Amino acid sequence: MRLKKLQSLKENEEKTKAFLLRKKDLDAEDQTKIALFLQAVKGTNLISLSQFQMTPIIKEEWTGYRFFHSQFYRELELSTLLVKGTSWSINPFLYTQANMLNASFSLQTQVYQFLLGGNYKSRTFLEYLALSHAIMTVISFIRLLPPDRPISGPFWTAIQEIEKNNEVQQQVQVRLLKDEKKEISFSASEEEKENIVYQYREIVEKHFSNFLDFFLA
Amino acid sequence: MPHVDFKGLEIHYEHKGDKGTPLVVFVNGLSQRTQHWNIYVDYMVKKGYQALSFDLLGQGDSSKPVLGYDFNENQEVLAKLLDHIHEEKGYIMGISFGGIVALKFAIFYPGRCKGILPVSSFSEVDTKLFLEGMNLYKGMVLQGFDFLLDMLMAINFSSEFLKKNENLLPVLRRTSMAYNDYYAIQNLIESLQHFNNFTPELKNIQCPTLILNGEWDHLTPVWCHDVLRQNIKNSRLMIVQHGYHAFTLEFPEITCRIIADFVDQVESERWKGDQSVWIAEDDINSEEIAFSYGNYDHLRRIAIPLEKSRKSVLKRHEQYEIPSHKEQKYSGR
Repeated sequence: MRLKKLQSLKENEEKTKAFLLRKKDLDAEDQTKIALFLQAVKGTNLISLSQFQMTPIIKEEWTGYRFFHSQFYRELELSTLLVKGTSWSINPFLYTQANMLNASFSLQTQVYQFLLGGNYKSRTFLEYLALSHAIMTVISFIRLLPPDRPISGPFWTAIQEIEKNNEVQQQVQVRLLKDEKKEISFSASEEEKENIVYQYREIVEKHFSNFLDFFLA
Repeated sequence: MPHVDFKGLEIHYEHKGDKGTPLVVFVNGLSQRTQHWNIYVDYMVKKGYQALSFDLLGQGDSSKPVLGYDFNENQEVLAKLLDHIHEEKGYIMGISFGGIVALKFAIFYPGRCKGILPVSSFSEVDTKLFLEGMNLYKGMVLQGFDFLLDMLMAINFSSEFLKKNENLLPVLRRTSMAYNDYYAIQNLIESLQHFNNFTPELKNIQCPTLILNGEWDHLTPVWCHDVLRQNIKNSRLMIVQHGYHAFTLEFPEITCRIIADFVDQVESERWKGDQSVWIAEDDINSEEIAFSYGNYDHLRRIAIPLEKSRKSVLKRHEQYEIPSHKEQKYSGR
């Protein structure tokens, strides 16, 4: 079991706080880096959420469905909001670098396994819950801003909206992770669940830490 | 940043003061962290005491287990911390959520408490308190952590305080959101989902107990504290004038003085746990810490003489004795 936050992430968050304290307005390159990172992460979540759209076809009554259905469209909406709120850079190298970073995240999370998801009684489902919970709880930019700086402008407003929604949306993941009801979740021992949760948390923490490295470079 | 290991989890703590002096432990409320006690820690150290503050599991810089934990682990954490700093006993002060920890610690570890100060706390839940708690929980779940903080601001402080700190409050709100993790706070609240009335166990608390309640605390009103007073023999109840649920943050000087005086009374064997009811002085320069409630019913918000009030149908508990202490000074000097 691993419960300590990655040291590299702690350090990078501190460095980013100092950077954001010095730099009041993010330029197009900074905004683009953050937006590409969040779009990719949201994309990972969206891929999995899209699979749950199939659930009613198997004609089983499942309470999780309507929540995931709503998350799917909310995530799409927030992705669009971010696209609109970002001042995009015209530097092509930035997109290439961001793609490389995001590709490594897809590989580590083995996101393709979730393409065949939708079976909410499988281990893969539990892994999806752990991954999406980690995405929604580990990644936060607002908390890196100086607390006395008002959130304003289209970019930060979009980020705030995303993070606020993360709080509300993660309820489903939390509930299903904690629930013992066999008809909802894959039946796993507490230890097994914890291992899965912390395995994905570590991947997301590493990814966020790598991103902050890239952001500060 | 000092940490102690607890079942593979990290508990962050701050400990100051000289060994061999009385130890005062501060237990956080729901959304607090060790830094909230800085004024208290400095005050106690100046008074010649030791002070210990720590983040509960799920708070501040302590570990935040994703799948939750058992509320009773909080008492174990505190015992482990005392072991870690090589202190057998201490005065345990806890507010709100932390007040329950203080009370339960005194029940589970009676030999490790020199005294306790449960503040803005409770041992049982009535319909109204249950609904208030559910509203806070639902508000957080449906709207997010910042909504919970907004609701708590209105519950915790007086209008004057909120007005005076109008510009500071958004900053405090953002700071709180930065060091708290939403899922961890949810876990903290959910650790109370199997909360059972533990009033019958209060009789096991033998140590000196000073119960503190804000005059205008409408989340945990005076009846919650009076249940503690009635069931803990070695206790006194003190109402803090003008105080709301988090009066410890609004009136730290007054509260520091009350805590230090309590420790002093117990250490010098002047403490008299007679289940009496007192009103804290609101002047930090006053000679006495508190004055008698007099012959009025402290459970009412209008000045009803005790004799008349006893006939009230609103009376919650059959046992309703308040010792006469008109001529007595609070300090016992």
